[in-house]
Amino acid sequence: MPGLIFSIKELLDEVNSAAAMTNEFLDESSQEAFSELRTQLENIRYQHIDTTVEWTVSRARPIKTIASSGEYEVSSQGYSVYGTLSSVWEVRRIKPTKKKEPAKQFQLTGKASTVVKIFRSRTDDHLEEEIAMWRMEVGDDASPGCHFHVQVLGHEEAVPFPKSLPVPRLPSVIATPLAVLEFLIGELFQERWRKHVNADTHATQRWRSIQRDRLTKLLQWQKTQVDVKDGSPWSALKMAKPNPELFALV
Amino acid sequence: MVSRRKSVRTGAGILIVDDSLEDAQSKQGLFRGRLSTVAKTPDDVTVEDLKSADLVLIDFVLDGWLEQLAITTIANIPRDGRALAAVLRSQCDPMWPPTAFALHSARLNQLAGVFPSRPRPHVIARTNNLEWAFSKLAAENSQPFEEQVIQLAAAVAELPRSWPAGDEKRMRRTVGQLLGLEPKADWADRAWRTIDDCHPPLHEFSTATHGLAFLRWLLHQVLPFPTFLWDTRQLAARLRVTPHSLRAALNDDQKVRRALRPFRYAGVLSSFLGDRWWRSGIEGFLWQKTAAKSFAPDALRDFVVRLSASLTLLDVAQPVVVFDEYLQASDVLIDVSEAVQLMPDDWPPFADPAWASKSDVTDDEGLRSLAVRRDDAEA
Repeated sequence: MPGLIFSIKELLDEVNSAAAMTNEFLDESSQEAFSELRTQLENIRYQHIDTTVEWTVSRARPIKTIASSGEYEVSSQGYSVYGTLSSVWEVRRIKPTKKKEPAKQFQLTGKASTVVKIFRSRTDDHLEEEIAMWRMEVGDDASPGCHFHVQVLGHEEAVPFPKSLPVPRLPSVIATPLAVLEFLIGELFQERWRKHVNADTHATQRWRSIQRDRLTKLLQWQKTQVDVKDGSPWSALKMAKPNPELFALV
Repeated sequence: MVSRRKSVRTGAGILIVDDSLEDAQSKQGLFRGRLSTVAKTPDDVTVEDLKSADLVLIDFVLDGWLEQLAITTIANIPRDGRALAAVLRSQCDPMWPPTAFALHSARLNQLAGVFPSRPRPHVIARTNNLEWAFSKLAAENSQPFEEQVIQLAAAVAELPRSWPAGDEKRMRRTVGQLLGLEPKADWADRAWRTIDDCHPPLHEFSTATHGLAFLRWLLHQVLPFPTFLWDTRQLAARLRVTPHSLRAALNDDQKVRRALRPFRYAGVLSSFLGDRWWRSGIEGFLWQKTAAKSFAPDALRDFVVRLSASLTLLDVAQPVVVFDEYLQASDVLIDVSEAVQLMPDDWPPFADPAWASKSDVTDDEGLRSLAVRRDDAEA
């Protein structure tokens, strides 16, 4: 089954609202990453390139959070860490009905991986060490395991979680790189993020609307998959591939 | 006194007002053969002069004239050119074609705050209800004074007789023509979106001012900042080359000039603050030329090298233009990780961020006061 279809306009809104909402939790260099995400979407929308292209946050220039001084615990008793996010989505624009019109949607055609890393600041030598890494991914037609899944490490042969053992593929309900960003910030700043998103700004309203719609569709689809009469519900969910139109424009 | 008087507006014309007629006439000489000009002292300005002028250029210091005034009622005494501009503007009938007002002074710093120490004309103009403020000190004008005056007067002359409010199609056509946006360019639709993002005053404001509000928006909120138009420094940062080498290549290298020419802004005020470039056009161009990898440093570098050997590549991961202690864009491009975001009062929310180097912010109290604060545990 072909890859999922996404509305370019909705993703642009998602980038813009995420940029506004997360601003105070991010290092200022991250603004350039949002600008790049936006420009790439505009290019996909307006430029007539009918091959697979990448929508990406570069690994060399990731989105970076400010330091969390233990706010990943409710008690804020932990040490100081920050997170980074990079992402690659391989996509192909869906040709608009009229040739001269901008494309409204694109379709995933391959890799759809968002990498999160957590770094710990070492005060003794002013160096930073990577202390955690996971990938939140959208599978393709051939991928085993849950279509929306999380993998820990797995980018090199070192143990634990070497590249040659790409399990577990933990089930997930998070689809886009920006949704992963909210997950990351919510983890690093447990209480502060919860309070922050309660402020009803235009950006949070737009964000809520997009995420509510997408999560509802995804959860409803998952619910349908586990409603089986025989076999194991978990296996059914694991094997299920969503209709490409799951998040598409109606 | 009058070099060429216009009873109706036929091409751009300016009214020069100075407390010294000799000085006014001396300025008049700068525009001989290029603009219709009238030179007067404040006492001699008539309603007809205002009606005929696209631009009124007023000297800021009017002490010579003020000394001769016999009146003592303070409401009747404009203390300086800024006040005189307000008086003369109030004499303009809203039914006339629009007239822009600008100051000309060697003492613009009197109209600026203490920080930054070098006056910024668009800020002075905006805070004093003027279209522009020209300095008599060449170093304070980003382009030669005469050229800027001619461009501003010409831009006012280009405004339509009446702003096409309520007629979306006509209004878009008018704005497109003023901005020199070629409707057949394959990036035109995309450019319109970015223009709209910058909230142009296309409706009530421009209708009430016959388009002058539109020019003010360009002068005060668009041209001085990285918006839908980029200056050559921003373009250099995007191409990851030095601004100096890009300017040289644009002058000397026909291949570079030809490649970038379609994206050079050619609308009103096109050289008022130096060359400007259509961001949407440049981004679409780079996307095509790098096989949709326009943010990948290697792909961009390959393209730039193919474009011209004379461009000097930057070895910076993510270059940004550095603003100096005078809040002027500099030719210094640094990696964003070495930069601090600034939030000056005049910076429009729709513009790309302003950056200063971390070391400048550490050393300069003024810049430090503008740095965006983040609630970072390490701060």
